[in-house]
Parts: sequence; C-alpha cells; structure tokens
Amino acid sequence: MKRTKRCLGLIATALAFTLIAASCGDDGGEVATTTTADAATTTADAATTTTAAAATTTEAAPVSDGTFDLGGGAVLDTNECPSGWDDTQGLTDDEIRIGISLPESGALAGFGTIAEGMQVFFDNADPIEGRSVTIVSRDDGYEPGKTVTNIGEMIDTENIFAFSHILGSPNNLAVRDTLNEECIPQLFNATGLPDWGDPVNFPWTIGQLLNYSTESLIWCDYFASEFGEGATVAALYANNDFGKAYQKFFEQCAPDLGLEIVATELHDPNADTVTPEVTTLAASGADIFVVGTTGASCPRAVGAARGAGWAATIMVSSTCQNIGLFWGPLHSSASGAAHGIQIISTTKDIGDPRWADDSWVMKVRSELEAAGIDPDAGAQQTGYAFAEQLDHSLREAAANGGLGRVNVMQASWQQDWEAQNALPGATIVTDGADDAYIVEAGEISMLNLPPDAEAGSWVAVTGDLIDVEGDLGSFAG
Amino acid sequence: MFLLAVSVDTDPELLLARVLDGLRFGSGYGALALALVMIYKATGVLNFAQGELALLGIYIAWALSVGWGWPIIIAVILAMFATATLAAGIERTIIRPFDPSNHLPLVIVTLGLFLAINSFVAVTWTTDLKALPSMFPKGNVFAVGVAHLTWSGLGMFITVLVMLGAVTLLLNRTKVGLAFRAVSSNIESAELVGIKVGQTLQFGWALAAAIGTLAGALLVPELQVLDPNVMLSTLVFAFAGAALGGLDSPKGAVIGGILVGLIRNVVVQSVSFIPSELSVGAAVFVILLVLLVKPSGLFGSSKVVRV
Repeated sequence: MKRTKRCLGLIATALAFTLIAASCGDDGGEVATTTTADAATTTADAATTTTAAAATTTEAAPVSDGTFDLGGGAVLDTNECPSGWDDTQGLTDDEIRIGISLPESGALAGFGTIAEGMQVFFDNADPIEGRSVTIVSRDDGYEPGKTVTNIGEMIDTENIFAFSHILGSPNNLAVRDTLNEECIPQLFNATGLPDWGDPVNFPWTIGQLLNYSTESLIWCDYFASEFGEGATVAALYANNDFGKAYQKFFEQCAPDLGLEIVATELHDPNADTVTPEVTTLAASGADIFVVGTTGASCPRAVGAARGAGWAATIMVSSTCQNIGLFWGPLHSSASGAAHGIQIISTTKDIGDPRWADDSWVMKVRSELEAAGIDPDAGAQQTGYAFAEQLDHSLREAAANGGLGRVNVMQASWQQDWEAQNALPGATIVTDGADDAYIVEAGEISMLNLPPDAEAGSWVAVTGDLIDVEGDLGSFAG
Repeated sequence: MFLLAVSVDTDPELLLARVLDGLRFGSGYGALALALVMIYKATGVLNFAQGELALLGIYIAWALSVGWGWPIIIAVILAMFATATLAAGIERTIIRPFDPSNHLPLVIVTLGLFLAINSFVAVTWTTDLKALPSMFPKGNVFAVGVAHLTWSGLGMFITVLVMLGAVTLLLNRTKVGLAFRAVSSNIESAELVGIKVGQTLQFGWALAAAIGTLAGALLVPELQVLDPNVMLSTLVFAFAGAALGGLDSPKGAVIGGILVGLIRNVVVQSVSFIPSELSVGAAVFVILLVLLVKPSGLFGSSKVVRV
C-alpha cells in the first residue's frame, strides 16, 4: 500500500517536472513556424545574423534617397526615412527575413498557425534572387500592446526585411505609425479595415483582405434583394476596431436599403462565451443575424443562436471562412448548428468539392500533408494562401529593379495578376491611390454541413461573382 | 442632481432565458469556485493555476473521448484522477518546500504554474478549436420562445449540487475530512495531535484538481468550442463567486458562483446603462464590492483576532 502511494507520488512528481520542462521549452512563440530544419537554424542564429547581415547585404539594386511613384499621386519618400535606413536590410546572401506578429495564444489562437502555413509555401517555392524566405513569427495574443513590443523587438534583433500579414485591426493600427516612420514595409495586413488602403498617408502599409466596408455593403445589397424592404437584422460585433468597423459600415448602408436593425450587441473579444449577448439578440426574433466577430466567437455565436432556437439567416464575417478551423469543431459539438450559415467567400476553400481537382487546391493539400500538417484542420491553409500574395510581390520586385523595400512596396501598389487561390474571374489589381485594395471580389456562399455529414463545404448561393474591382479608390477618397 | 437613465428589459421570456443561462454558466463558475475554496480553506492561498489544471483535465478528457473513442463519462473520470495525481505531485514538489504562512511566494508559484500548464496544453494539443462532448443528452427539457432549459444545463446544475453534497460529507463525516478541517483551522495544533499536515494538504490539492476538472468538463460543452484560453475568464468569474460566497465556505462558493452567473447573464444584460461587453468588469466589481463591504463574503467565517 505504502509502495503504491510512493509510486503514485513519483508519477505525479514526474508529471509535474514534465510540465515545468514543457513550459521552459516554450519561449513565447519564437518562430513557431519552424517546420523545416532550415527555418529552425535561422531562428537560432538570429542574433548573429543581425550583425552579419549588415555586412553581407546584397548586391541587389540598392535604392538611393528619393521619391518613388506608387500611382494615383501617392509617393514613397525615402528622404524621410531615418538615417541609417537601408533599402536592403533583412536580405542576407541566402535569406529574405519576413516578420509576422499574430495570436498564437488567447481567444484568436486558432489563427496562430498561419505563419506555419506561410513557411510551408516558401519551403516549396523556388528561391527569389537565390534567397529563401524565412518567416519569423511572434505571439501577441491579439493584444495590440504586445504587437508593438514584438515588432520593436523584431526590428532590433531579427534583421527583418518586411512585415507581412500581421493579424488584427487594432494590432496593425498600433504599429502602423512606427513602421511608416521607420520605412519598413507593413505588407498585406490580415484584416479588412479600410484604413489599409491609404498610400497617400501611409505608403508603407497595404492590406489584402476584402475590406469590411465593401463586405458590409455587399451584405446590405444581398439582404435587401433577398428579404425585401423592412427585413429585420440583429447584429453582434466584437468590441474593438475590427468589430466596430463592421458596425459603422453596416449601420450606414442598412437604413438606405430599408433594412431595420432591431438589436445590436458588442462583446468582449476575449470573453469565453457570447451566449449572454446572443440570447438578447435572439429575443428580437430578427430575420437576419449578422456575426461581425471572429476567432472562437464566430462558432460560439452561431452555436448560441441555434441553441436558442433562433431560425434567422446567419451571415458571418468573411474572416471565419475556414471550415476546419471554425465550423468543424462546432459541428462536432452541436451537429447541424452551422449548416446553412452564409458568408462572402473570396478564396477557394480547400474543403469545397468544387475545387477538388483544382491544381492550386491539390498543391496546397499535398505540400501541407508532406509537412505533416492536416490541411483540413487548422489555419495553415489560410497562411499558405496568404503567402501567394507575398511571394508575388517579392518576385515582381526582384524582376523589376531587384529586391529592396521600395521595390516591394511599388510592386504591391502596382499589381495586375490573377491569384491561384482567388475565385475564378477575380483579378488582383492595384494602382496606388487610384485603386488601393487588393481583394475586391467574392461570392455569397452557404455552408453545407447537415447533422449527419462528416465534412462540410461552402456552396455558392447565387453563383455570381460580386466584383467591385477598381470601384473603391482609396481610404482617403 | 445627476439623473441616470436606467431602463430594464421586461420581456418575461427573455428574462427567463437569461435566468436559465445564468444558472447554467453560474453552476460551472460555482464548481470551479468550490475547487478554489478547497485550497484556500486549507492553505489561505488563492490558486491561480486552478483553472489551468482544469484545462489540462479537459484536454485529457478530450484526448480520451475524441481521440481514443472512450465514453465521455469514463474519460472525464480518468481525467479527474490524472489531474488529482498531478496536483498531488505539484503540491509535494513545488508547493510544500515553501513556508505555508508566507503567501506571496506561493501565489507567485501558482501564477507560474498557470503559465506553464497553459503553454503545455497549447504545445501538446495546439491552439486549434476543438469540441468536448457533453456528458448529458442533447436537446431541451423545455423551451418557451427564446428561453430553453437544456438537459446539459439541468445535468450541470444537479451535478454541481451533488458535488457540493459529496464534498460536505467528505469534510464532515470522514477521517480525512476531519484532518483537513483540523489543518484548515490551525496547522500547528493539527501537527501536534499527530495529523500529517503535508499529506492532508496534498489531499486538498488533489481533491481541488479533480473538482476543477469536473467543473471544466461540465462548462466547456456549454461554450460550444474548446481552446486553451477557455478557462481564463472562467477563473475570473469563479474568483468572483468564491469571494462573494466566502472564500472558506464550499456552500458559499457554489452559491456565489451561481449568483455571479446570474449577475453576468441577467443584470449586465438587462440593465441598459451597463454595456454587455463589460461582463468581466462586472465580475471584478463584485470582487471589489465584497472585499470592501463584507470581506468574509456571504457565508465565509469572519477573522477574529485576539488583541
């Protein structure tokens, strides 16, 4: 008996030590993305690379001081950059170092594997000017203050060439001034705040996603045509810049089209549940439920609405498109709850049977699987798709004057191509301040995930691509 | 005079829905508060890692039930044993070496444990969302408009009451319970009458971890999806519940937790001038108010000091 007790004590002790050891091993998400030996080495060597890089940078087309046209009257003026600024900082002989800050912990931790997916893309891509791309990621828990710290630290110690796909509206807003003052590219912010399309005032910052103003406008048009005048809407928004952007734009367009907003609730983005808010909204009995939130709150809002027996048409934020990440888990806990929700989708969902034979989708699947990642489960597929845009800008810059921060910004503000991850017919066109938004097309889709289904897919509702390419201008007008 | 415009929703169906939500979530907060109280009662320390120990138990239950296909009830019971064993080990290795009367280092140790366990869970099971199956049947006992009492909500409420009854019996009717109460009352005197204080405290940690795991396994299916962040705000509400009920009263913890659930779902949602996004703020307000007005809580024992 005594021996058994001692044994149990020993096991418990061993477990306790394992825990402590595990915690020591986690250094706060420092390139968590190191899926390859290559990446792991570069991270470990970061401190030495910083100094070495300064010496070894680059024969590739350095840019002298001057102004550079971005289109539509927007210019980059490198005379305003700090002394010591280097157009090719972050380029070593064999590496392009890209920084990203995103939530690997907290309520939006589901997005944390985006960086891993980006790294898989670049591990399988041809070198650019003989260099491979290394994604250096830091966890900010969706806390803007932590994003500021992460960015500062990465600038100081990680020899970063550019930042890409920083996630979160408040997080990108928090570092935008610094990155523009430091003349470091803030590329393809993984948020749809319209503010990112403002090259006149912030030429070093560019977004990528369908912007929330456009998305709200498409919602309004669709609801008005589908439900007619007098349709009632109840809306849930995250209480931050992201959710409030949806609220602002939806409340602007809804009344003009005869939609009646009967209930609105804001929720704490870090809360463990949105049930209290959704219960209040459900009591309104509105025809339509707009879910202007993201992360775990997306499935939680839908689950709570269905649980309350609210038979509204549910429209969720385009940021919640990933079925494996958001809707699979909800389906497991409450089968059928997510069936029939609607969204504006802008990319090919790799779980959609429509794209089963699509060369891009097959490439995503095979490369993620080869890296030991389940392509249907996490956010790696999103990261993989994000990387296509970054890759395009880097290659365009390399082909037009050589890799450098200025050339990458010019390549990003002057685009005209078709991305493989985009829906057929959608083009990516930017022209500085005349056309400052990248993704400007999507289709209304409905989630097909009935109670007895094992996997779901987005199904086009109307089949029409809603394309506002070039109509949006820029944030400044 | 400053006039505050206050309006209160009066729709009876909505009120009922909020009360049922409040009871459901409040039961979960109460169960976790009970775990907090077990350790506070014995050591006078608030265990900040209590929620994360429960989180570890939830993920173990998830791995056993979803990963290995075991019945969820068996998975939860095994997870309770696993976390209880771990907690006993933690107590023995990193809590007992510290002076029990000096609370600050112990609080810092539990904060460290909080971070360690959270990181361990995130590394082991990733941060992807998951679904923990409920131990109760799906569907509603009854539904009136938006108000609905689910079988899982009812099951949660009853389980928490049974758990409180079992803990009360354990403390009052068993030898180990007597030893636990003796240690809670006065460590030195307990030692002098031959009670093995270390083992008794170890038992308290193990019991608290098992209770916390059950609390988590009850609550998480109500949150639809599971992620490593899920017990963080739950812990804040459980703290508020424990403070409200009295930090050394098991009964107070459960009642306090339920009251906090009702405050969050009924009061915050019904009173127009409280923004609903301030629900965590409301919990903190409850803690402050109790500490200022009645530090011993509703059912806690007041400290009497000989002067």
